Amino acid sequence: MKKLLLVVPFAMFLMQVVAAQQAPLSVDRPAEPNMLFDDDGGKVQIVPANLAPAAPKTFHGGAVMSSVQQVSIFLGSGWGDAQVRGRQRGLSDMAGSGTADLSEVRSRKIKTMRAAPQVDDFSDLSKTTLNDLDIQRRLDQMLKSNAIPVPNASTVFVVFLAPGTTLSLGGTKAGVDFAAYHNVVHLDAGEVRYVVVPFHADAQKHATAAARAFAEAALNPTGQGWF
Amino acid sequence: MSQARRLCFLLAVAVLVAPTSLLSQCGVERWSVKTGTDPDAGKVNLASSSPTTIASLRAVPAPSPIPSNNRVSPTETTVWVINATLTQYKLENDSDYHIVISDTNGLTMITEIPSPTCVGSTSPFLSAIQNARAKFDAQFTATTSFQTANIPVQIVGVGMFDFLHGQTGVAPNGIELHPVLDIIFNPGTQTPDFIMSTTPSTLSVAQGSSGTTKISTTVAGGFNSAIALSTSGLPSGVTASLSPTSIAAPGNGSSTLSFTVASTAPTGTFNVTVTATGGGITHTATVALSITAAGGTGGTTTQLLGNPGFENGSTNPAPWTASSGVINNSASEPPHGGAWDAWMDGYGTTHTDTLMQQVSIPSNATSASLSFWLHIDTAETSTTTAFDTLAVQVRNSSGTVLSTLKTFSNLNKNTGFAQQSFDLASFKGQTVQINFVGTEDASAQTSFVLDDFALNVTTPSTTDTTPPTASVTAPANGATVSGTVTVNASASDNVGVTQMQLLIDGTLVASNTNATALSFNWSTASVANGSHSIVAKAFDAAGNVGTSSTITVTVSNGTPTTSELIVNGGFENGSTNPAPWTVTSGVVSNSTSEAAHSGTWKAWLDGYGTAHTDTAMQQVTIPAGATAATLSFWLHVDTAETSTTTAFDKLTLQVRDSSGKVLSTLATFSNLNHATGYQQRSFDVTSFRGQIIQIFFSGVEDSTLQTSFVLDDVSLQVTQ
Repeated sequence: MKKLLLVVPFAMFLMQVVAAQQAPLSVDRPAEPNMLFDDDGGKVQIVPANLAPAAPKTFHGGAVMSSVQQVSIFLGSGWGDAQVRGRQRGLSDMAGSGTADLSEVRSRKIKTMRAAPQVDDFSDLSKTTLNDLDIQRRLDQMLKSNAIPVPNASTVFVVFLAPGTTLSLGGTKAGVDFAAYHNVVHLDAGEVRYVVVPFHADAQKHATAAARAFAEAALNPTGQGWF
Repeated sequence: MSQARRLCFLLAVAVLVAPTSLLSQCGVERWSVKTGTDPDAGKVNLASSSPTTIASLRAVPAPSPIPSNNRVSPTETTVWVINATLTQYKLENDSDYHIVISDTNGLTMITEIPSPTCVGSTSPFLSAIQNARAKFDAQFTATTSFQTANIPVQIVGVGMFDFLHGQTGVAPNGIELHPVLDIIFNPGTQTPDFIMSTTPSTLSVAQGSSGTTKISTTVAGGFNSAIALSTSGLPSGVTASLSPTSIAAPGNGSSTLSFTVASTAPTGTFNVTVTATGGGITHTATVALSITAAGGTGGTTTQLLGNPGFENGSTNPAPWTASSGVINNSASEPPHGGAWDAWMDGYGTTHTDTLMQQVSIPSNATSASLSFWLHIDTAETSTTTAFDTLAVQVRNSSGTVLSTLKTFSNLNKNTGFAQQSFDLASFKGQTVQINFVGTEDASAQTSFVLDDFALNVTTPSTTDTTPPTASVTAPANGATVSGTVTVNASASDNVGVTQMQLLIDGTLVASNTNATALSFNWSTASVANGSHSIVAKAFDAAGNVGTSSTITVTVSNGTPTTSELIVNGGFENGSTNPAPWTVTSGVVSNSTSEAAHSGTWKAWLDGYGTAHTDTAMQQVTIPAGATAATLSFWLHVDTAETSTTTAFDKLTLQVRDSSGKVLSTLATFSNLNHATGYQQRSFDVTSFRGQIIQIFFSGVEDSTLQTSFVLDDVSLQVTQ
């Protein structure tokens, strides 16, 4: 009877809301450390939110990049703020500026190239919760509009999210479950490797998360390299 | 039913409080291939299916590279049927149901059912995906976490190579069945069934022409019967033929559906229903037939209803107005398409539900057709008495019923959805409310489920050759004007005014865009007295220009008046009463050593031959309406300096504000300007209109050799 729908379930709904507030939604996690499921069922390697050091890496027989070049995308209106923008210098060329620890990348004989020119996209994303599909869709749009260069074998797009931008990945939350991650998507432009770095109030931690995810993108671009 | 509806409500409300990232989204990677909107989707042979195994598909080498937007034949152009065990399932964030199936050796692969809301309407797989999704929902509730199961399934789906990225249950070569077109749980115990699809599902045919589409059927679950095909819902002037009219047993095959459209057939889009019946099972599919005018110059068809499938959900039904609980996504009454429908009544108690949307039907409509899909189920058992009813009404904007198009009841119960169509052409030129009233009596529920509305209106598509009209509404033709005059113009157009212009004496003075009124404050003082013309122009998007009648006005501004602002400009009030001048001692003089320019008195600054400064200042107010303001005075400079290059002694003329702040230094004179007589100096100070200013003379003399700056007959004349 439809009438029951209007009365009884409301109490159940309140109970569910309370329960939902008490217990976080359950999210599946892969068995491997520092891995999460993304939004279409694959695994992605993350930098944990606490930046805890990763265990020594082992090789899993898959692809490793032979050279890596950063293409930074500063995404979100928060980057329009002059003070925030001051961070860009230290982030936009992690290999060329020497600010990032890429020693493991170099020790694996991966050539680290000076970064390509950065791209600013100051869209107002402050009222949006982005997920990995949104990032993929935006990269696709930017490639189709020539806002970013067609990737070559060395390209890793590093998407720096502006403060105030909320990000989730397979139901997990940036800042809580991860500090950065890297992934790969196949678009009309080909294989697109990318790193996503949510904003961190602590500039040093922000840079550390970015550098680590960038390095892991080079070492483990498609999930079967060094990790 | 009540349990299901309760769950439905809870889910609907839970969505309201869920983080936005949990709301459904569609995927990106190979999404067109995964859902059948890629250019190769037509290559998929829906007329037959091929039994296979997980092991066989896992043995197919993965293509390299995998095309992002095309299919790899034959694996990705074949409908595969696999019998296996469903072991895991999950709702992914891209809205897919991620289903892992396993064979008896533990080999796994992924099959996925996209959300129908993420499948484009042009996909030939859409209706099958809707069917598969509904069948899965009837068995399981997928969540964002993997759940395990152990249930035999027969899965029918199209092959698709995914990129390997650690997916749970993925085959080593990435092969998936994606999308799943049908899923049969416990196939050994299931009733055999078939699926039907149409390619294309939308078809445009001009009046006097014909067109075809293909109807395909694919069997599953051991179905083995001939399938009879038929059509319904044809608009007048259209005939349809099926070749063949029946798919031979076991039921895999296709038929060509041909439409012949008479030249007299109405233009517009009509949903034609294809019904397939065999083995005691009936399925329907829809072909959207768009009839265009012969020669391609005919009308434009527009669908007027907003949110026609209710896919905005229960929280945002607009522009529908619905009574509580009508907008529904419960699996108990699944929609015809998408995820939502309008479920009216169904309580089994005395109850009335309403559903309404207001639209305006253009006055030039050549056709207006309302259609929707209706499913009625009921607990009433009478075959003669209409206990519960659904009235389809057209009301005016005040709610007065203009026509009751039809009244359905429990007697019209049906097993699926049936499309209903009504001609609304008689309401053209009116704003009407499409209104549904579902009335249920005290017992035995009847549910009226409505979905996928369309109100297709065809209007003649003609080239706009009608220019806008423009008129000058003020001032009136023949008026005499002066000062500042407001010029108003208005415009109108059958389509829309894109730009307006105002011209005075042929010169553009104002313009705007996308407005039907334009106003301009014209200062007539800027033109000569006499006759002047005003014209307004209006433009439309087609480039038509409308020009107003010429308005002729006579500008008659009075002769400008000039007034003197400086008082005691000749200093003739003498040294004892220099006001309103403020001067330093000894400046106002009637000494014969320095003759006045006129009268007896003058202002003699400096002339001491020692370090000295003299000043003379008078404060005035320059009216805001001044059209001209000119400061002038007569100056005589004599000096004992002999240099012809160095300005030892100086007279500075400044304009200051009322607090003494220098606004401008108009000039500096010096011993180098010495002359035997007086010379008149003039300065334009119009720019200071509206301000209180000080005219400030300052003479500064160095320690030797005098220079005398003698001023007389100072004037500041203002014209307004």
